[in-house]
Amino acid sequence: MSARVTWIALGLLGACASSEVSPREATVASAMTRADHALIDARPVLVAGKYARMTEDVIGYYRGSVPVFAHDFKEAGGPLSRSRFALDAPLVLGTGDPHLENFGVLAAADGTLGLEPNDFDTADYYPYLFELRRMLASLVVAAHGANSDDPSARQATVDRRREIARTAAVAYASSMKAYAEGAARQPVVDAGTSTILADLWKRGKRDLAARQELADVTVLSGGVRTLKRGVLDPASPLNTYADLPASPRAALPEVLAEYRRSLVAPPAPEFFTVLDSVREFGSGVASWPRVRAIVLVRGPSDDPADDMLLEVKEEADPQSAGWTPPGVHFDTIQSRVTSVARRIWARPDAAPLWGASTWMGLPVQVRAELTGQKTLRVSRLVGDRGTPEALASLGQVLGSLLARVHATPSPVSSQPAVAIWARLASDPAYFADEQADAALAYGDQAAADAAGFSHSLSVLGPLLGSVVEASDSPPPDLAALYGAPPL
Amino acid sequence: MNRLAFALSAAALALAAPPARADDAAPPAPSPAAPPGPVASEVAPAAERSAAYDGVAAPPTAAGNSGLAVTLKPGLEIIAQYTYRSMSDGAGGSQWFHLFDLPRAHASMQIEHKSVDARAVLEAVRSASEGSLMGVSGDSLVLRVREAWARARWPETATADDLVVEGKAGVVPTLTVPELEGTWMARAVGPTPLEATGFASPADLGGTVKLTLPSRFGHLALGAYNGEGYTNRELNRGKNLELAVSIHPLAMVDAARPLAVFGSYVMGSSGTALARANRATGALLWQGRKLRAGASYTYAQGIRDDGDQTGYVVDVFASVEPVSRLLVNARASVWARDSRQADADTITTLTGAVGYRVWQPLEGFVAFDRSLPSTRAQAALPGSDFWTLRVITRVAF
Repeated sequence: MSARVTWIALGLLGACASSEVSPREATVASAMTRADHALIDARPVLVAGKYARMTEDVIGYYRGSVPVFAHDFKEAGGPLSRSRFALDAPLVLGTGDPHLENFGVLAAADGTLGLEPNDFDTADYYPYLFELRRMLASLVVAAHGANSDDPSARQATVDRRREIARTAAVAYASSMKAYAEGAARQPVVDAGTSTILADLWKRGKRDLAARQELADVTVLSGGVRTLKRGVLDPASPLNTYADLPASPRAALPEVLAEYRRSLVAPPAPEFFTVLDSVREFGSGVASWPRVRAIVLVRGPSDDPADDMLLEVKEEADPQSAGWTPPGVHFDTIQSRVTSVARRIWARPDAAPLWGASTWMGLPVQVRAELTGQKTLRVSRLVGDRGTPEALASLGQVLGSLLARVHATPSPVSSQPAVAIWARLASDPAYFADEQADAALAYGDQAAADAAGFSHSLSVLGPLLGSVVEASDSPPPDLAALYGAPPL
Repeated sequence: MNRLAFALSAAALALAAPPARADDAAPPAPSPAAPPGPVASEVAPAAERSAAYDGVAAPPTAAGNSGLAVTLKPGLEIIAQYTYRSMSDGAGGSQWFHLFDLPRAHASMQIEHKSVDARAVLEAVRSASEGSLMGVSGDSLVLRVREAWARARWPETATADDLVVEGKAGVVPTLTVPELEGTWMARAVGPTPLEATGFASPADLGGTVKLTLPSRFGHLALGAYNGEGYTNRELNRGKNLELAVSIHPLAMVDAARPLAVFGSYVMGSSGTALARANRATGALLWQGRKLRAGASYTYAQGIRDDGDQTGYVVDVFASVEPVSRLLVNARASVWARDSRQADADTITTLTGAVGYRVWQPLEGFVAFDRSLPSTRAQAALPGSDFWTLRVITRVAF
């Protein structure tokens, strides 16, 4: 269901919905609005769009509800943080939100495709169990959302969701053991036996070779390439490109100059000559309200065939952070994003054009926009990619990959794998069972919360009861940059 | 309930307002410190505007331009500390960290005119909250409003044998945390567990009415607030109501006058979805000169936006000055984060401190803290198993 239809449905639902939210729905609504408070004040329509997007499917809700997960982990009440294997220290480097749709293939400097974390909006230091359970629960959520076209196949996957999560937990533990014993951190450069990853690699290679993004979002006319405007895909009517206001557009060369300096091996300055730019609306879920732009740059030569697309995305403080002891923090948001990414990837140049900058005072992440850098999507878990075996196989790879991420040496621990494995070694089988049970409980809770979230929106309104005051409106130039999504 | 709360508080504030007095009609005596504007002798009767601005615009801001004879009380409290913290590294060893910190920097101004006074307190705070990198000019210490209230008292002049009514509105101290902290009188050593756990805020936007009983028998008070504390904006239509009673049952006996029985109840809500947030506190306190001590129990119904969650805080503390200038403080508290759980979800905190009052406004302390989480709490809050050693200085004017 598209977001536009969702909004209309929410309006209709409001007329007949129960006029009270349940205590759990109230908790979810308050956790979300507390985390989004500043955004709600400054760009309420964009936050309303995010909340509407979260109601489209279970994984959409899960992706957008990191603050709820953080609340449920930290605060007492649920089973999420109950464990025999909790570890006070060290905290590990991580993305903070390692659900399966935050993994995908990246094209390294030598063209190799590798499976890596590809979203660093909430990257920081975290307890390893926080990250592991976030990922395992996402597999349970994925089981609920797989096979959207086949109810019986979906039920078969749902019935075996605990086994899927347990497979990933076993892989995590065994990989952690290997890293604790000195194994080198290796990249994942092929699909192995996973049908889901095979699909990812196949489409990724095809679209990288074809430079598919240029065909999808640009037009070449008279030897000059420009970006399209408007709705690009009728199936996603809220994902649109619009003209950038003059002042942020004029600032882009400076933004890209700073970004270039943040790269590991920066290309020549001419590479980043701006040819065109647009404001993108309706992309992502948690980052839906954030400023995002697509910039068309010259690339290696004046030949339009090697023009490059860059995504410029606003970054902010993580909605799930706050675990670090006094004195442990990054200097800036930009350094948080780039240093975590380059540390936890198997190689620092896993995505050579991944950097950061500042745009009109906003910290931004800048990366190559390549259609071939495919991300795992629950919507593609159908047919032979939606079977319990396929999800278990994917879980095995992701569990191992997360162990590799957590084994990354950091300024707070040179050997985090040793500390983590020391905790698990007493009973790895019980560890796997405990994680599977926690993932099952929380994944099912998230599926129920997704329905409750729609109900809360219908009762409390599109901003979950938040009141917007006119005095909080941003100044005109910033308001122009935020823009208004087409609804 | 929300309307009822609001109506009650409005009525209470109205009742607290002092009646018009005959001497209001007489201009006050000239003040040598009178600011520019209408001179004190020209101050109008209460029912009229000042004649000094006939034919001209009054100053754009009235503060300091009223011409009233006032009593001015500036104030400052600075608590600075060095902290060494040690915690487990997960592999049998320990990790440590140390830092200089400014737990409190308060600047205040209180102005009184007859039975009306007002007070503003600014406090220093880090501009970025925990886990954030986006602050003001890096993560600077910035000033925010801790208190900003106006108060009216009746009668204007009262002795300890009189019944006194006062009403206060603005960013006002709440009724429970200040009573416990005011008994402890050692904020430099640490805040009350009630505040540290987030169960209650020491101040909020709203109003209070306080009835002080004659002969130092205690007080009754009622407050109505937004409910999100002074650090946050109101998020819902619900308002918090707080009722507090402090009785000194042996006030007629000099030696036993410090004994107080305190009780309070907060009926509140939090978050945009009006999650329940009620608190009930009972305490036995000793508010003497040499000994300040107490034992309190707070039951919480509705915690951190979860209206069903329950928990409690048990707190036992003592501040003693056994010989002149020597200050000894001890505190033990148990915070049950979720009392519904079968397995204990608690954090026990022990604090001990020895201090010395070097000169009257200057005190120094060495404090030791131990935080002991249960297994359940430690899993949810990694890093909560630690000890700290602190060296603290405090001045208060």
